[in-house]
Amino acid sequence: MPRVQIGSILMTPIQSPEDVLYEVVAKEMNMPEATVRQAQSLEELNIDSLEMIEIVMTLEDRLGITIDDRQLREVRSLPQLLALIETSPKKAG
Amino acid sequence: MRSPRVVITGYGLRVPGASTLPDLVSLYRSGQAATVPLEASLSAWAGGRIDDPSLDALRDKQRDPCSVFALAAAGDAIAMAGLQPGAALQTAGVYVGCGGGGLSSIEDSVLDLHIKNEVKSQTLVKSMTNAPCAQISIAYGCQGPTLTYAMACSSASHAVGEAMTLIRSGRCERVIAGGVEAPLTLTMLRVWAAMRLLASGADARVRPFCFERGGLLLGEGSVFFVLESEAAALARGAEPLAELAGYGARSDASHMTAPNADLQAQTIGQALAGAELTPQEVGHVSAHGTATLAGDVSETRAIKAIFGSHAPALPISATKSFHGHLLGAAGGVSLLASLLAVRTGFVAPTVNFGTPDPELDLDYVPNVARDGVDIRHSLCNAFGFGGSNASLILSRIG
Repeated sequence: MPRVQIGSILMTPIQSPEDVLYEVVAKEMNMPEATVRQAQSLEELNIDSLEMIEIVMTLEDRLGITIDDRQLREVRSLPQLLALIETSPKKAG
Repeated sequence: MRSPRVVITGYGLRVPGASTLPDLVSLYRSGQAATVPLEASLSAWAGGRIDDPSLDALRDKQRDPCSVFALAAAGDAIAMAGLQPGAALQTAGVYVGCGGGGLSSIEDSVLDLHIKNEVKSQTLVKSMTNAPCAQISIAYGCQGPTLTYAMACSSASHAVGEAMTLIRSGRCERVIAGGVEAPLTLTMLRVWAAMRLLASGADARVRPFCFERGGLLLGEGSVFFVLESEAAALARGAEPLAELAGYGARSDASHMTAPNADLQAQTIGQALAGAELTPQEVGHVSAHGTATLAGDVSETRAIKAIFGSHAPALPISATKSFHGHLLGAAGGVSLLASLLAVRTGFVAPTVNFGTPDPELDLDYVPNVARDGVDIRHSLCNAFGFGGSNASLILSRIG
């Protein structure tokens, strides 16, 4: 991620959950982020269940949340995953 | 008429919570799972441990725990079948299902290498996946075919099914067949946890086929059977305990981990056809039942697809709820539940059963064992990662 100069301090801006999501998916699937943002479905990106687990575990670590497996099964697109992220509880402890 | 008929004349087990069949029945009657919080560096998880001091006599610097478990269970099976050293054992085959081989020996070796720059000369013979098979053949002088099936969670069922196929072919009249696994290492637990397949927490339980199912627990152990042609068993005065009547083996050819209900159904169908049975003649199912979100739904769909209107009448036992998932030995554990069903009419329950799930609406024998059920034929399922499926049919003698 690019860092920005604020006064004399070089800072990493805080990313939104949406930005984290698209960055993580793009990295896991080895695709340009723009392609990932345009996709209408997980199927279109060829994300299979094992890749999805990897994506979800990275998102949980990065965002400090716990994503419910049962709700995850219903997710068919990245906007749906984003909606699930935004309603997921913070990790305990 | 199937020719020759293949029968079980002995069995042996070392599974979490039981080292004999009476122990196993007591465990199943208790309704209490044998899985426990694991120790030391594994304390973040629960699992199925073997607690049997008699195994110490079998431990050896050339034997990983998986070989020790296998020798103990196979030895009991051979003794029960009344096989003595001599021609009957010398011509026997040994077919073993084992997913991972000597996993703790591999882990120890990697740590020794990286921390102490040491490598032990015994590591290879301890860790190779066919080590349990070789140890049994050496210990009992079995010079028939010795083969190891590494088919993940369906390994033991494939070993038993392939042994049945070999005996039916007439090429061998007797095979020691079963499965073993010793997966309770830090690496393996972390690997399974990373796939989000383990029930989480040290107090976790395995809860197949109910709404609260949240994944599996790993278990260690071994189950072996002596399989013989009926003629060979009767000729030496051995008592046939049950007939292994059918075996289905089909592959999903679709995904490394996602279950495939269509191919599971085809596997069950192939086993029924091999046993020359109609679905209505089956009276019990010993399920794969891993308590994963997708797996239990898929198996339920497969059972419904084959059994149709008969499906709700079938009691379905998920014994992983007691022991955890013994992976390469799991099919052997499930076959013990089938053996109890056809020999004694005892139906093992699915424990830790909570709220019914609307997607899972069959009779999973929740929490309480049943007695006196008239079961002539039991179906035993095992479905493995990689898409390997195995179903066996065990039938009552007579």
